[in-house]
Amino acid sequence: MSKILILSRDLNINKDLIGLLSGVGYEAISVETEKEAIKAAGEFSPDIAIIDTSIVDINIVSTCRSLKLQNETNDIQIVLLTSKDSDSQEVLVGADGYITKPFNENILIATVNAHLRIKKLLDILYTNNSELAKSLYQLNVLYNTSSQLAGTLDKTKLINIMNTGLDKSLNSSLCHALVMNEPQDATLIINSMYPITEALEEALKLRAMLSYKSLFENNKLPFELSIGDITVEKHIKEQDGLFDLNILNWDCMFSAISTADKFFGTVEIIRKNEFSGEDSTCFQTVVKQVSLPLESALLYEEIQKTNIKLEKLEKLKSEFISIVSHELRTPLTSIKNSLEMMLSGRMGEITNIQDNFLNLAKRNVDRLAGIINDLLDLSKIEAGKMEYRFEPLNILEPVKFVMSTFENLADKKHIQLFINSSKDEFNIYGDSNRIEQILTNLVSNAIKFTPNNGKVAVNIEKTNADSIDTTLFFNDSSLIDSNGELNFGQDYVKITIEDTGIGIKTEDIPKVFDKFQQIESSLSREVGGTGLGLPIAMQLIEAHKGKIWLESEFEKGSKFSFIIPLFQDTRLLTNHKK
Amino acid sequence: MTKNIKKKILIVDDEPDIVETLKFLVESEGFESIIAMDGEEALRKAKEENPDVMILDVMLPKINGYKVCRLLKFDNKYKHIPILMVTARSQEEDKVIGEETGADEYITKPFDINELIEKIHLYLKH
Repeated sequence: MSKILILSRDLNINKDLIGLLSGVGYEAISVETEKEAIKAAGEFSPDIAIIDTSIVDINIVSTCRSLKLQNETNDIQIVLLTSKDSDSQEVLVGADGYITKPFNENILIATVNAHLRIKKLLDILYTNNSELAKSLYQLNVLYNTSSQLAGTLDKTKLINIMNTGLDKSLNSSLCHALVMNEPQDATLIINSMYPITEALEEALKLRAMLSYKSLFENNKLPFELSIGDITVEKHIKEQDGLFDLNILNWDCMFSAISTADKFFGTVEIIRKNEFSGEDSTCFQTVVKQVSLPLESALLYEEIQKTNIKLEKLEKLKSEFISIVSHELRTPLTSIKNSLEMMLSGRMGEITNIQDNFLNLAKRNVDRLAGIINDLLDLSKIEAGKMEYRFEPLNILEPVKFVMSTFENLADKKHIQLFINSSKDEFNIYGDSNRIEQILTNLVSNAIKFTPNNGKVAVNIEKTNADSIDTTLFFNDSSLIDSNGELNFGQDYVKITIEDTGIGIKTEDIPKVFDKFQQIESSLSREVGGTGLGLPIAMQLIEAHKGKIWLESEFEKGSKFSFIIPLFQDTRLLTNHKK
Repeated sequence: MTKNIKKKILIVDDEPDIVETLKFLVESEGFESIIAMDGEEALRKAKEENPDVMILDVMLPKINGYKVCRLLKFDNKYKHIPILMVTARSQEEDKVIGEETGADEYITKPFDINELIEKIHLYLKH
């Protein structure tokens, strides 16, 4: 029923108006002072106020303003009852309509009706506006929540962001999420406006549990769970209140937190006021938004676990190799020394056959020792524990030294050794022991795989990064960016070890730098070897900022090339000389 | 006077088989061998016997070889004793190393007996 407030000192007017308005079905009351009018505006909340302007001791303009301010949500319509001549212009400013005295009853009712219609329209407008504002607020919260969700991979944080988001956007009284950690381990996170009774806490546990089970009715539960497995985590906002079982009669919304293939838990929010369709959309959106980062968090957790496992394995491996190689060395020393002492004749004369077999045993002991050294070197390099003593050095010196150590072996097979160098000096910044190791591995391979009466040549020349065909590089995981690793314009020394040996089939070339990889052939079985020489050489070359690659023609010969940067300072020096 | 007195070689290793082969080797070269099976014994015998050369394993019970070496090399009375350090290049050894030990020579297991004999002769000449 529409309500009308009348402010007048004229009792006749009051009586007439009340009679008239009640007669057409409106509820009307009258007051005589401004104070009473303002009080009535708050309590009675009238749709229309009719003010008699003949009251001289009040300021009509400020009264109008006070009435309008009294109830902001209720945009009261003010109609002034004015006399024909008395009123000044400014009195008319604060009001919405006017009727002149003496009034015509029909005109008065028509005016009141018109203002009631305006009032109704204003009410609708107000409701729409406030709904719009609420939606905007929800959108804003959703936006904030989603940007927060994107910023973390921590499961607990994600759930908390979800709870806060739900709380803010939906103004809930209580929100509880059942989060599954592992089978027989779940956490019920309760965000509540006020403290909750013990009975309510138990009821919430049971409720969450039942809701969870009802999601999967006859299917297998993603996490086996009984009520005793649930730990409760409570966040209480204010202390001046208490929630008991009654809040379970309030309106609620429930949802599973899950993606297409992963289930994380359930969430329910409870509020006294009913949820609208929009609220439900908002709820679903927030819950959906948390599911994806939760899945990422789970994956991240798994990756971390795997990483830790891998690190442990890696450490175990290198420890294993180290221990094994140490444990093998000691008995090997006794065997080797005994054999050598027998061979030396210290224990009396030995026959030719005995000498043969003792030598055979000694050769194999030496080979075993070589394998252990290679294993240890490789595990050190891979663990980043290899120590290098870098210094400027002329690479020709280790080349000449290594070639000299192979003279005897080459002579036995009637293999000719060559060193072809375009200059007498190629200065690099390197560890001479390691350079010798690289060359020893490459040259011994070349001699090993070259049949009698062949040739092994080491060619040394200067080259530039721009003229190197990087497509030939051995491309393994760590070397995918080969092109980028060469410094533009950098000068290198290029060493090529060329043999007239058995060669390597094109399809086998990528395998040669793999660990324990020896291309299957009768010769490789005959010459033996660990299969570690090339991977070690490659790693040592890379430690010198260099590269190695292989060109080979099956049954004709192989050509291993490696480059190491020329020492910069020396290059500057030669430039000065010019 | 020195002609009649055999040169003394102190062999320190906790591995009986290695001690036995080294003892045979050293004696077959005409030297006198003294044996120590742990770090403490090595220190004591080095001080009592004043050997001409010491073959010292790194991984030893009680006091490790690096420490034995340091204790002798930083003592003016004993620093003249040449020490040939025998290492198996294990990770544990890497952990104890890192400080200057003052050893005269490092020999990696398994070593070559001819090289070892050569080195003993070399240090006896000094």
